Amino acid sequence: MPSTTTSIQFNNYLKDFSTLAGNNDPYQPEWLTEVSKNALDEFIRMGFPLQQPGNESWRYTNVMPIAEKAFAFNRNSSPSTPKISPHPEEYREFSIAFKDGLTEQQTNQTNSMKSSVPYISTFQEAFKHPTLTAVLKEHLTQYSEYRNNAFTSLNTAFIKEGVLIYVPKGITLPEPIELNFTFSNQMNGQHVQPRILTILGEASEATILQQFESTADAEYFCNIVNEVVLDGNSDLTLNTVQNHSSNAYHINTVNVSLNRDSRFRSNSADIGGQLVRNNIRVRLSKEYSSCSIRGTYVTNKTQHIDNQIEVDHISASTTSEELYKGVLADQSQAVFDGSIIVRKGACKTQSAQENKNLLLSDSAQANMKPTFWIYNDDVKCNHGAASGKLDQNEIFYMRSHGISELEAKAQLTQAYINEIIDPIKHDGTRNKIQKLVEKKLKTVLQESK
Amino acid sequence: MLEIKNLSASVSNSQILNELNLRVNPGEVHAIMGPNGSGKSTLANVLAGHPSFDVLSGSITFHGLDLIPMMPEDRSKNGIFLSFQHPIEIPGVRFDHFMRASLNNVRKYRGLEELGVLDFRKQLENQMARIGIDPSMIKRSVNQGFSGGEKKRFEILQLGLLDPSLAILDEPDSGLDVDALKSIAKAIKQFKSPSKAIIIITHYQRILQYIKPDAVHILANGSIVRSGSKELADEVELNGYDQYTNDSNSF
Repeated sequence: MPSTTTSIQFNNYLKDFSTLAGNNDPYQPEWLTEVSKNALDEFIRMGFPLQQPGNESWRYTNVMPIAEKAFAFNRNSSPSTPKISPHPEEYREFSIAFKDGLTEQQTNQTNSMKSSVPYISTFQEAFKHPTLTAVLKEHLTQYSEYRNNAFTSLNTAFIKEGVLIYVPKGITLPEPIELNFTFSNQMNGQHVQPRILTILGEASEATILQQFESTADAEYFCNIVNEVVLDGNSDLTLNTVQNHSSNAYHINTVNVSLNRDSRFRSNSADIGGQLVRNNIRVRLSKEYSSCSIRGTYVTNKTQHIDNQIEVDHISASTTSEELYKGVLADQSQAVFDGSIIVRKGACKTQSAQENKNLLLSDSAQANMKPTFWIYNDDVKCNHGAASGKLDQNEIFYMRSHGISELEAKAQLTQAYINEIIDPIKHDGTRNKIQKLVEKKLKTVLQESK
Repeated sequence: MLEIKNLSASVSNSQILNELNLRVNPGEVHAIMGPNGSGKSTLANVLAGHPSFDVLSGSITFHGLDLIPMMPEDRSKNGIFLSFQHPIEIPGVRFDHFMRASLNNVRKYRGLEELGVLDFRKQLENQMARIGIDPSMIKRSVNQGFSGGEKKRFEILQLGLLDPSLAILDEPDSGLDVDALKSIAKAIKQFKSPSKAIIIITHYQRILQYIKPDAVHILANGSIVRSGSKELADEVELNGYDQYTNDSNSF
C-alpha cells in the first residue's frame, strides 16, 4: 500500500512553479534551477503523506486537508525587489518583514560584502556576490534532505525565494535577528514556502526570532524549512512564536547540524493554527556539541499540534535536552514524538526528554511517543511523559484566599508554562511570548468554564 | 457572627457531619477538639466552601449572610479565613505574587485601595518580622519545599495580612516545636479583638495553654457532643476521647 497520496491534484503547485521559474533572474545559478526542478519532481512522485498503518511518523496527524485544498499563489506582482538601506556604521538590529510570504523590506542591510559583517538577505540578493553564491552552493539542501520528505521537497521547489543568514567567525550579534511573517485576508486559499538558511561561523553567536502572525481568519498553508549549520564553538538560539490564523496550516521543518563545542537552543510557542506540525531534527555531529529543544503550546477548539523532535547523537560527549509542555482545551489534540538516537561512537552522551500535557477538558487528547535508539552503553538518558488535569486542591487553596476560580486556573496554568518561558534570555521575546500565552489562556479558560 | 444549625455534610458520598450546631460571637475564641476522623477538618472545609464537600442539610449564616451557596472566594472576601492543616504547595506561583493578588482582591471588595508593589512589600515585611519568617522566602513558590513549621508560619502570616473577621485555624500547632508554637500563638493573640472571632481546631490542648478559649467543644462522629469552658480541654488531655467515641468503637 502506498504511504503517500498519488491521485492528488498538483496542478496549482505546477502552475505556481512555472510562474516563479518565469521570473527570470540573471544572477540565479543553474544548479539552483536544477535543485528546484528535481525537488518538484520528487514532490509529484511522493505526494502528501497519508495517515495509515505503517506510516509511523504520520500516525496521529492527517494532512489530507492540506492536500485537498489545492492552495495556490495568487500574486498580482512578482516578489518586490528588496529595498536596501545604506550601509550602516554599526549593526544594531536586523529584521526582515514578510507580508503574505513576500519580502517587503530589509533594514540596515549592506550593499557591499565584508567578511567581518553579518549578512542577511534574500538568496536573490546573495547571488550577486560570488563569495555568498559559493556559500549557498556549499550548504543549501545539505541539511534538509528533500528526497524523502514531501513537505521539504515542495518547499525546495520554491527555494529561490529563500533568505540567507550568515554570521561570520567571531561575531556576536547583540540583538535578535527578526523574521516577521504576517498574513492578511489576502492569504485565503494561498500557500507560502519560506526557506531560511542560517550559517554561523566559528565562535559566533546569534539569536533568531521567527514570528508568524495573522491579522485575519484566512485559510492558508505555510510550509517553512529552516536549515541551520553551526561551526565550531558557535551558539544559536532560535525562538519561534507561531500565532497563525485559527484556520491556517503550518508545517515547520528545522534541520540543524552542529560542529564541535557548538550550542543550539530552540524555544517555541505555538498558539495559533488549525493544523501545525513542527519537525525539528538536530544532528550533534561533533564532540561536545549540545542542544536544548523546548516548546509550549496552548490549544483549543479543534486545533491539532504535532511536535516531532529527533536528536541524533553522532559524536561522543554530546548533550541534549528536550522539554515540551502543553495546555489543551476543548477537542484539541497534541502529538509529541521524541526520538533520541545515540550512535555507536557517541559515548558519554547525556540526554533528557520530557513531555507534559495539561488537559482542561475530557475531550482533549495528547499522544506521546518517546523513542530511544541507543547503540552504546556509556550513556545517560532519561525521559518522562505525563498528562493530567489541574489540581483541585490548588484551585481551592487560591479561591479560599479571595482569588476567583478563573484567575486561579489562569495563574496555575501560567505557572505550569513558565518553566518553558522563564529561561528565555531575551527580554522582549520572553515578554511577547508571556503576553500571547496569557491572552490565549484567558480565552481558553473563559470558554471552557 | 457565625451560626451553624443542624449541619450535615458529606465527602465522596460518605456522611461526615451529622446535625452539627455551633454559635460563635464576635470577640470569642472557640476550640473544637476531637479524635482523628471526627469531622474537624470537614467542618473547616465546609465553612471555607471546598467544592468536594456537600452540604446535605442545615444552615450556616455568617454576619447574617447565607454561606452555603457562596463561592469560596466570596467567603474569603466577606471575612472568612481558613488556615489549612496541610497548606497546599503550588509550584511556579510565587508567594509574594499570590499574596498580593489575594490581598488586593479582598481589599477591593472591602472598598479599599489596591496596594502597589512597594506598599504591599512594606506590609508583608512587617508581618514577616512579627512571625519570624526569613524575607528571602517570599520569592519562593507558595509553600513549595517549606518545612511543616514554615508552612504554618506562612498561614499565620496570611491571617495577619488578610485581616478577616473569622479565623478558622485547622490544627495550627501540629508539627511545631515549642518556640514556633509560641511565636504562632503570639501572632494569633495579636489578631484577637472584640470584633473578631477565632475557631481553633485541634487534636491536642497544647496550643490552648497559650491562647485561652472562651468555649471548648468536643466533636465526635460528626456532631458536637459536649461543650464547656477551658477546663474541658484539660479533662480531655487527662482522659482522652474514648468516652465520647463509644458509638464508633462498639462495632
